[in-house]
Amino acid sequence: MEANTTQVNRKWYSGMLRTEDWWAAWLGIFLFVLGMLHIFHIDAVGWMIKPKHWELTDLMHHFSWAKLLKTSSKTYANWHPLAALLFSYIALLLMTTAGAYFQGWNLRKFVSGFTTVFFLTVFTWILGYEAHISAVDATVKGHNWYREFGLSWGLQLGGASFIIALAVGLLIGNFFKGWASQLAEAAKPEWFIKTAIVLLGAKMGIMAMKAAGFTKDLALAGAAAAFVAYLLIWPVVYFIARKYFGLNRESAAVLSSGISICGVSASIATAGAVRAKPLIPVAVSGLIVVFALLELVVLPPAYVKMAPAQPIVNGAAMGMTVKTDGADAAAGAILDDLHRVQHLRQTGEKWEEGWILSAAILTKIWIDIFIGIWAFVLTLVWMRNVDNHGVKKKLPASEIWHRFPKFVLAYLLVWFVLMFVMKFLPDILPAVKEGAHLVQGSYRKFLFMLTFLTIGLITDFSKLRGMGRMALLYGLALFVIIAPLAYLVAWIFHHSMLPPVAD
Amino acid sequence: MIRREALIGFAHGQWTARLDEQRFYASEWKALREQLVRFCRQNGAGQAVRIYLRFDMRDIPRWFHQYQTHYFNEIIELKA
Repeated sequence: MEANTTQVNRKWYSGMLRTEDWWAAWLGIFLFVLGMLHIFHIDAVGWMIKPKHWELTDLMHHFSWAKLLKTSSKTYANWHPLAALLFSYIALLLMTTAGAYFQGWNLRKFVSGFTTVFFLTVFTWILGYEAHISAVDATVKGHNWYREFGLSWGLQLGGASFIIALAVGLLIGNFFKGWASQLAEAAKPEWFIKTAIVLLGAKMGIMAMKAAGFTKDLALAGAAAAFVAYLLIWPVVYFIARKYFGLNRESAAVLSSGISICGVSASIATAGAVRAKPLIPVAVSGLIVVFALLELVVLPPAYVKMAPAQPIVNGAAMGMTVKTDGADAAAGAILDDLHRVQHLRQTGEKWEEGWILSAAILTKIWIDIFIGIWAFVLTLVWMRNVDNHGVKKKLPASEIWHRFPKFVLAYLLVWFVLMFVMKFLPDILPAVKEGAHLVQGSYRKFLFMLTFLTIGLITDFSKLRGMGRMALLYGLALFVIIAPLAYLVAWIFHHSMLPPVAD
Repeated sequence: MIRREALIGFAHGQWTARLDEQRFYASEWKALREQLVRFCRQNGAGQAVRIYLRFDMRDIPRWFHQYQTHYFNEIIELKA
């Protein structure tokens, strides 16, 4: 296995079995294919558990697991909830352990870590569905859970599970560091979120069936916004880092990419592009991860408060502001919930779930795609102007491919398969939609939950110690330059776009 | 044209390279590349040489691989 020897990208297919990026694509496609077995009347995915709305007094009066959990589809409705939970655990454990094996991870640590992470995630998922926390006083799909449970008070947060998972992860990551290190082998938020994004491709396909024009506009606006943000923000941060903070060229370039583009991923790509010592992105990444968490906690409620009538702008701005795919998707999910709950409470109208989140993810995906091109351009500039001594150097175009996020290919594949079926195979469309709906529902949401919990686990605030100057530059650049500029760009390309109303 | 491959790494604050059985170390990237060029010129028997420099990701902490799976590759061409 390649992981045991060198980890060198020689061929276009290098790393197909050894990188999390590729494994996000494989897992996402695998789940999607399982969902597509609906075409042959086989429900191979409906056993996945999902929480039900429940109320504490009612549960204590008559405890039943069936009040807390159910299966995703009616095919498995007669399963005991604990049997479905156990089956979901074993199935997800097998899938992820296969990835862990090929990536050369410590399987014993992974299995024990994943087991803990899985059940903690399920616990927080269920907790977030307690009526006093989540139920909103409005009728959705014929139910008003707030009234049906006879509540006299409630936080009316909608989906609070994400925040609870994040809080639990942070608690363990910062106060029980020994335990967190035992879970580290399975704390892979980027892997989980990239797999979830592949499944979000199914959601995009389904959404495109309902509103093709809007989906296309959202995708194109996201591309344009991401491109403009690159050209606008990166030079500003680089200039400030050089001029006012006295950083050398390499550190300034790495930090600029880390702050202004896409966090750890862009900082590593840029460091390689300018031949910076790998120590630099490693140092910068600690900052990025901690700040990304602050952004994901602070920005969604702030944007909803500031601009309640601009949900898509807010989503797109999130994609350009919050670093790392995991934190961005997490922030987008929180934003999606907050906006929809607020709109529902104010108007009684329910926006369809996922559009605001998709705005956040689409801009981030475009940014991820551009990283490779940006790093390639930077390398050319560096070779010509900085690193231009004597020998003839060539920059292989494969550099763009090696830095290309492969999970995006799977995301697009899933999306386009659904579009293809809609256009050319309408006879099987109902079955395909049913399968796609199942995988993008419970599985994607569970992967999001895993992401929230594990982002908390890996965020160690003590890493900010001793990073005074860089942390100051990062904080300043982020909140004074990037957030306002990103918001402006997002507004230019997305203003007046609103999510469709749910059926 | 002779083709050579050098595996690039980074350990203990130094750039490293492995080309055939030879090991090279330098604190700066340019210095490492100069060593490789010099070595290939001396051992190229007057022929043109193409050196593929390929970074081995094992020298990037594994935790970072979830964010980026490639550092850099580069090609150097030496005339005959």
